[in-house]
Amino acid sequence: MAHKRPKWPKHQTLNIAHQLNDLQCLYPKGEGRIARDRLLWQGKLTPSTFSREYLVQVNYQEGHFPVTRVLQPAIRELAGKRKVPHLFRDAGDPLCLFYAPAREWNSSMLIARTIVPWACEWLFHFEAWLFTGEWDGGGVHHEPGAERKPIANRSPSID
Amino acid sequence: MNNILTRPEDRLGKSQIVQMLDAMCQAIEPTETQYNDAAERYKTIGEFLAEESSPLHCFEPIVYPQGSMRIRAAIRPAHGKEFDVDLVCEFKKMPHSDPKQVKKLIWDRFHNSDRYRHMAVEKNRCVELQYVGDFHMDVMPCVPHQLSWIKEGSIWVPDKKLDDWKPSNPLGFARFVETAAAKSPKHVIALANTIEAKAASVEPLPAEQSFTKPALIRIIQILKRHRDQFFQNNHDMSPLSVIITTLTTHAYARSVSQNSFESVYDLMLEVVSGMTGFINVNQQTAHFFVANPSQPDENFAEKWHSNPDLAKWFFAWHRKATTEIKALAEQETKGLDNIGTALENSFGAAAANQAVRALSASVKKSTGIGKNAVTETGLVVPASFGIKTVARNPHHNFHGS
Repeated sequence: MAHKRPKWPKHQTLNIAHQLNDLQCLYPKGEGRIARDRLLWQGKLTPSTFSREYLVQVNYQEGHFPVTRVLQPAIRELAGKRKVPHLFRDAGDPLCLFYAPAREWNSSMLIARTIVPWACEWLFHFEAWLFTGEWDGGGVHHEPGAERKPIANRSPSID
Repeated sequence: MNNILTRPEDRLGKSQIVQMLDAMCQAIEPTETQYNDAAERYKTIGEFLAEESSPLHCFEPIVYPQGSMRIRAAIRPAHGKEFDVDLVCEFKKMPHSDPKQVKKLIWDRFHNSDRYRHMAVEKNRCVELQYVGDFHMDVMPCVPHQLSWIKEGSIWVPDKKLDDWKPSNPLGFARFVETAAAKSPKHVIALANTIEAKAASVEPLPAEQSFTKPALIRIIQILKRHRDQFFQNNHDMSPLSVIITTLTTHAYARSVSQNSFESVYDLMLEVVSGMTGFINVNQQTAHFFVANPSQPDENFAEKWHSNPDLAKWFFAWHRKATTEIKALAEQETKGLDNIGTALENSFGAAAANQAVRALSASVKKSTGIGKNAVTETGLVVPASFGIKTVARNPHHNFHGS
């Protein structure tokens, strides 16, 4: 059976060594490593001068979407009983940083220049949300499960 | 001038406080439409009083706004939706020497009208017109100052007991505020890499770090809001708006003429802490004196003499306002949510909510038009702010519910 062509133009996938190098250049205090085909990076991010410092981890396997989590402090604890907006319902509460069906992210993009700045914004809006109870960072609401839509016909794995 | 230039990150924090306080003021002040509606209404009132068929026609009444509505520093009361609009009805020709009779003329005119009868309420010195939902308009009768050499704008208003006239000058007072408000603060541009602060250049403050209205007007609004919050259960001790406005204007005029500032926030702090310097104390009697700038023998703090608690509470409020505004930039507990809590304690829950929401929304908007960037520590900053950044934030949508 003929391989089904993707509908969108082909892009050049950047390899994870390139991704790691760019992360280290832009965020020299962060720490990253490559384990087999997987890039693991973590860094301390403070989204505003008033904000807490958050330890954020990006877990990226080529061909999948990067998975971004807040390791510290525990965002669910900060939120109390409220349901935190824009989180995937997966282990470790990955952040929903972009709208995959609109292809806002693909593997030709540098994580350090997309995922990490978006994570900083997420944290900014999260802290505002903690106080106001309203998410003013914008975003797309969607049908459940849509976020798991694969790229290149492969299902993204989480860990 | 402060010679120790602060880090650009601190300037950003201060700029964001200004942004939040500005949003708060926008949420509690009349909208442009409401200002226009109010103007439309007092024009109609003026025409109604002055029209040829009016018994007041021959005394040539003119109606104009005074006070906070005139200088555009009005804010909504802490609990309630309606703005107070203070109007002056100045008769160019004196209808009667007795203030009671002059007030009666106005009252009769409204009371005999189908249009205004149901809206008019008689008050001690004025007639209040109640426009449901938006405004109360207080129409105070007054006559020209009877000494012709007195400066323009001087009028006589009924005194509290309504048994005599006393001089006043609402137009002169508004000019005093407007003249000061038109003076822009000078901005010291922090050049982080220059060795000497002396090398810093002085320019007007960039728009992104400023209030959307003249800083003086915003500072007056912020202080009035803080007062309303502070005295919410102690209303009788609440200092008059005219006292806050007068002292703030003096302090502002001094600050902008003598100093340059790295941020509007720094200006605000200096103005707020400096305002008590313009309360005079009589050496002999130890009475406080806050002179009406357009009527220097009038003491706005007259009542502080008969009720010393008023003075005590004024200073207690002023200390609290100064401390809390200062603390906004020096929060020890980290988190935008904690800034929100601090704003709530100072200005009330609804105002604080507006402030934090506006900041969050503006970050979203800036990213949408490609104007945000991040630093190597993850600070989200306007790309043009002068902070070293490592990446521009591309447009995106947060996904998920």
